[in-house]
Amino acid sequence: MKKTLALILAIAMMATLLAACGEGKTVATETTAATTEAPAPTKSFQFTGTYSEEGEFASMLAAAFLLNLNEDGTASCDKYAYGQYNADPAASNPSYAAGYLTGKWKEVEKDGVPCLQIKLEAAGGANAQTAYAYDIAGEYSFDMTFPVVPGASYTRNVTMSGSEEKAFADADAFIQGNKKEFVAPEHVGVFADDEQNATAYLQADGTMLIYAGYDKFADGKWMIGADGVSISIGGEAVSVTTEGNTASFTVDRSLDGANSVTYNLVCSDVSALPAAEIAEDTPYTCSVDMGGNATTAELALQADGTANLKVFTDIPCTYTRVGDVAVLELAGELEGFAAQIWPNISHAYILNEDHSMQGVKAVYQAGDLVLIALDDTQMKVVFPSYHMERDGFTYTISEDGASMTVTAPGEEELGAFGQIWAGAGAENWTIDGNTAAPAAEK
Amino acid sequence: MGKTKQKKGTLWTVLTIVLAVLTVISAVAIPVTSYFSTAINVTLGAATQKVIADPNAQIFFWSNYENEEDLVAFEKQLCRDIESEGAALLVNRDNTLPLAAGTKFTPFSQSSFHLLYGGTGSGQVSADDAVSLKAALEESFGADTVNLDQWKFYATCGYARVNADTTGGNQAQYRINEVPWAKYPDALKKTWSNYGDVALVVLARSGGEGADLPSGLPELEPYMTDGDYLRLNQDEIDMLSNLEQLKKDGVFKKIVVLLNSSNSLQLDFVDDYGIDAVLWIGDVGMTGINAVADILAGKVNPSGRIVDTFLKDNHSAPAMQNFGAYPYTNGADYNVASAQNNTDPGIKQCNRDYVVYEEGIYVGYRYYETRYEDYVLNQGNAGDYHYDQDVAFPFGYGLSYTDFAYSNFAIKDQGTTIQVDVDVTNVGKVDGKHTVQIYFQSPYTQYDMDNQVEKASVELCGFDKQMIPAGKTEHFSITVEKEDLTSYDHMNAKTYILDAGDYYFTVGKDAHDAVNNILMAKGADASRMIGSGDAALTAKWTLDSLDTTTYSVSSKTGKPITNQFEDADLNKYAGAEGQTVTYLTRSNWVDTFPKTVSLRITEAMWADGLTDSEEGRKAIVARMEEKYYPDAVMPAVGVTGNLTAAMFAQKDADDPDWAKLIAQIPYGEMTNVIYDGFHLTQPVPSISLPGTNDENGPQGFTKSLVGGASAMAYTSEDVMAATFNLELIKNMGLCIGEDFLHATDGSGTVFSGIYGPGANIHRTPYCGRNFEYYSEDGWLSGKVAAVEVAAIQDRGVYVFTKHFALNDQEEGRYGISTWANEQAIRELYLEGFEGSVKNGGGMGVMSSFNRLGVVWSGAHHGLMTGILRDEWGMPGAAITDCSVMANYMDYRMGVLAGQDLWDGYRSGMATLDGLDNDPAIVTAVQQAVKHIAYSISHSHAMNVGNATIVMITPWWQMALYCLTGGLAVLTAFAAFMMIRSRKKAK
Repeated sequence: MKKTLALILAIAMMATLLAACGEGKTVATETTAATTEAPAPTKSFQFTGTYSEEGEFASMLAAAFLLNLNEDGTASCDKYAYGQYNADPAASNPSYAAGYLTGKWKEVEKDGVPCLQIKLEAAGGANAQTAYAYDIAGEYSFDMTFPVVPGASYTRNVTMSGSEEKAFADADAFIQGNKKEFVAPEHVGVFADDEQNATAYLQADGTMLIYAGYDKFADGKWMIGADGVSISIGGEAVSVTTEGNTASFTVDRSLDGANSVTYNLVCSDVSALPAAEIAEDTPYTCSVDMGGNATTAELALQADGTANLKVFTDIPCTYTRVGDVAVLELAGELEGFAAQIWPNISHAYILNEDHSMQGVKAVYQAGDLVLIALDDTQMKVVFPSYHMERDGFTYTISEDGASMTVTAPGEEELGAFGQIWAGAGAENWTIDGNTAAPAAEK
Repeated sequence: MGKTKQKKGTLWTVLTIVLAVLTVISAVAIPVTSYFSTAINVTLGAATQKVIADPNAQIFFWSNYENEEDLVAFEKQLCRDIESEGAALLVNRDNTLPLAAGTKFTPFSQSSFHLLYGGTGSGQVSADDAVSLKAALEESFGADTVNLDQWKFYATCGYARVNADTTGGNQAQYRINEVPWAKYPDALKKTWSNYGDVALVVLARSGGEGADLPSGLPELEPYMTDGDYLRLNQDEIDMLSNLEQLKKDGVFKKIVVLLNSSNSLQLDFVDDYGIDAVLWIGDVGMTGINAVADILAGKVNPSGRIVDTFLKDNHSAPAMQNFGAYPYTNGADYNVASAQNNTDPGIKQCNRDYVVYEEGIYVGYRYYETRYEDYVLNQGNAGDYHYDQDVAFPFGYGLSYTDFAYSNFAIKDQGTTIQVDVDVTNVGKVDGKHTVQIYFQSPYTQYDMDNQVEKASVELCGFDKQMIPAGKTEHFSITVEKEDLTSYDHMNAKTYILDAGDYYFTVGKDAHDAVNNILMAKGADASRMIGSGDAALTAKWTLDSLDTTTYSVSSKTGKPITNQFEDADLNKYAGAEGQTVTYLTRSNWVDTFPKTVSLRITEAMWADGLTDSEEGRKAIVARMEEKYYPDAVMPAVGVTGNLTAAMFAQKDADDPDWAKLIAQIPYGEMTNVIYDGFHLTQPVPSISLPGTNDENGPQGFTKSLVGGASAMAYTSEDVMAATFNLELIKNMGLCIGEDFLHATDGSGTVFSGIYGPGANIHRTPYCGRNFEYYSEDGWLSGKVAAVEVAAIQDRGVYVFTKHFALNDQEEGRYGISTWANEQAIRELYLEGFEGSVKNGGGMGVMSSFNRLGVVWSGAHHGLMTGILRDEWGMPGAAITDCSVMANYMDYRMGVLAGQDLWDGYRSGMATLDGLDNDPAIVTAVQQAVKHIAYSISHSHAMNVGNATIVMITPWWQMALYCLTGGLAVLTAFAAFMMIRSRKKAK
């Protein structure tokens, strides 16, 4: 985070400070605009606009813009990066860039419609744009393109609106009018890396939000169990180190592939953490990918055997439990999006204690074992009595769907589980719905 | 007194601290900014070289224009001419068009005000001063012909289409934002009858780099029907419904629709809502809308022919079943979510996704017309196929204000070619241009079925366009290359073949007309046909025996042609470990129609190309060296000599002296030019090769991506292709080249390379960059690209035809694994590039972000060397797509495969460093530099002659050094004063 910020700021500073001396070479073709020019401006206008977006670098991109169209025909647009939460006076505020874009303006009639023609560019003539602002019920507006770094390629659009009325007397007033205060998420405890300004906020419902500076970059779950604090990030368990009451874990944040930051998040007194209040009706969640679009699947299970699976839209189901796996069936005929989504998602989910879940292909109660088909070939076998499980099994299902062949991994991988498998497992199974029986017992 | 001294001491202390901090910041800024120096230089236009000109320099390329004004005037007219001949009239009920002079218009839709001039992304052009629809209509129809109140309303109503961002754009950003019907004020409605001759509806859809159009994004459902951007949304439906009622009420006489998009809308509505006429206009560029007004007014008789199949159901295409980025099911096991970086911050899944081209060759009309034929002939398990429920307008379709009739169709075998002759009579009352389209049908034989060779029922193989005065007949004689009739047999012959059997040739007004003619010649049951055909417009040519040898060697290089892409075909790639795919075949349509394919990563796939680690890449490099450079010996490097690049300005690529020239270059100079090619090439002083600047196309010269301005903005590429007029394309290519010449001045900045044109195909209507690509038809793309490329290069500008290859979508483009069979790769996806290189003499291509199979395209030896060099004989440089910080686009793997230049900078990825003793790498590096030097030395950069090139420190870096030095001196001085004042205070 810091490295990226430093790089971007460095480039921004360099470009802003030095580009004024550069060659603003352009190759614009002169064209005929159907515009009629009015005399030189004697009015002035003030426009404002606010840009924000979600994501890992949101605080760096969030900005408020103050555009003054001056009486002398010049235009100057300041940028206030309010996401840095610095409300110092403009003159000494590194989050405030006066004259981020500059240019000129005039009143024109374009294709018979009176409007303001606003020409803006970044230092050195880069990011040049001509915009037309039209009077909409007493207020003018237009879409302004602004570079993330002046002169460079990454741009965003912000809608600017304004009028002859000056909403802000000066830059300081603009800062005060647009400043924001960072509000940390509600939490019952934190793990923090003070050196690198990263914090994991533990929320009462067992969710965990991990921030670097002002930006959330990861979600997770937490809970206190018999073995102390357990943490998962993105559905994956992470290792928590405990020494006395102090617990810590590390999390990597990839900045740009070439660079990454590792945060060491520490909670100095885990004994003070309350138990996460994961409500019974808290839905289980997991990330699913729908044709390249990642989204969250939420599964809410009711005591009466009904369930609701939400993937963009609600899909009413019924469910049965096989071990820790919930097997879903449709409660009725689906229409619209739900009908399109259902064939493309898992119909069985491993339910985890922290209310995360994992989609699987199928599950079979096989005597004392639970056979979980993870995908078309891979299988996990669970022996719930001993809380033991092993990955690495493979399976195939016969064409008629009535039998299944399960191949165990080698002895080394099986380890102690080998004894359980030798006793309760089998290579060939007959299957019926969600149950499986060794073929020999048929 | 003591207090004063103390104060002074404090002042110096503070000053020392402040200056020290500033010195540190400035000192830190030196390496930080050096990291991005190439980008900063491009952004600031900072010179890195001083060119001491050769007074005796030969000027290789002169501008054909005395001044820029003449050039601009010509270009404006040219853009208008391209639109005049590219816009296609799709519907014209009761001869609604042309409209009479003085016709009064009320424009409808916010897009009538916010017209679409081009797409977004690197190809975005400036439309700041482009002609508006209103201005164009008034020029053609006279003053006060457009409802000004309506125009003002759209200007100020606050509704405007939202396009994807120029960079960092994504699917979710698109919005149609049509004005809800309830928002039209009553007072405005009262003005409509005064401008009631025509309700002119503009339906626009934009596309953009990095952002395919949503084809069913649930989160966009509130804004678009089923989250599909190419369907009418509810506000548009409401608008058309109300217009239909207003037409019944007599407020409007006619409803005319303009389709302002390069991404074909789902045209399931054109027979509804009382629509009288529909004109497809694509993206119109700077002046194209003037031509649209001319067509409406009848000043121009429309002659454009659509270059995509326009559909009633966009999702009916087999390619749509696998379009997008599909994550490998076991990606979590390989940590693909954060495994690799690429140039787009926040998107790190360079090895997460795949897409399978399961439809094989059956894209666009190759699917619809072939399945149609098989349905009519009751073969190939075509099922209960309803062509007319899928297709709205076939490929090649377009109406005119007159009618044309064909006669005297005949063919003549001329050895390597077939001459096709036909007479065309203008049987209407107005003059008009007409495009003759020649299609052929290759026999679908038992050999084909046995060897998985697929055949389309018709394929375009020739065209010509002429003006035909009313009542007159013109003769067309078109030469078809037999090479264009071949198929690629990737299973048995493993080369191009010409099947034994009957080949049908026909002239068709469109692809469907063509197949109907052939069906009639075959005696098909007319009751099963949609439309009618004419057997007299067909001719048969018969080949007695299968020919697997004539086309098995390159007609350009004489080298053998054989399989290059077995590793991109899941059915052949051993590393897929049994994961196979069923390609669509016309021998069994119903059972092989594509379904979404599910794939997992195997260890072999990871090791062969998906790997995210340096160790993994190093292992790949070792394998490549062993395979492609087994006997490499260390070449001479940095040899003293006096050869200069200018001496090679007219030398062929195979001239043996090139080796001597390249041997003069030290290793560091070679890697410097390979590494840092972000929109430029670095100078190579040892051979007096000047550095150059390269900029984006393809709608014309544009610097939008690097914050600069554009020159002339032409129409989207599909409109260019739809003209079927290669003379217009040639003139446009020349003018784009001229724009580069004119952008070059005496300051040492030489704009001599263009990132374009685009030659991928429209695999589906939803690709974000369809505006940068010509057509769904690879052969047509190649024909147009060849002419455009040759013309651009005629002006001393080398091309990088992009994006090579199989980059036919934007989703997941950074490193997505693209799986396809070799027949489809060659017959569809490479044809546009083949035209550019083989027939247009294109010096270069831009490799793509995606992978072929698991291998990044730039590191795919079969693609970059087997095809580009060995089969097509490309002499110049292949650049990468933007490689900034994308370490999967590895320099070592690239140069060993045949990649030459990186559109990025070395930061964190300088993997050629320290390999100057590796014979294979050094040989490959020299080869890459030779290709780069060839492109530059054959461009107008050589107008400097045998100049002396002096590398200089850019002004901003010099300023930073001075600043740091000055601050250091001041800090030392302040420290000295601080110590002194403290001593005094004591």
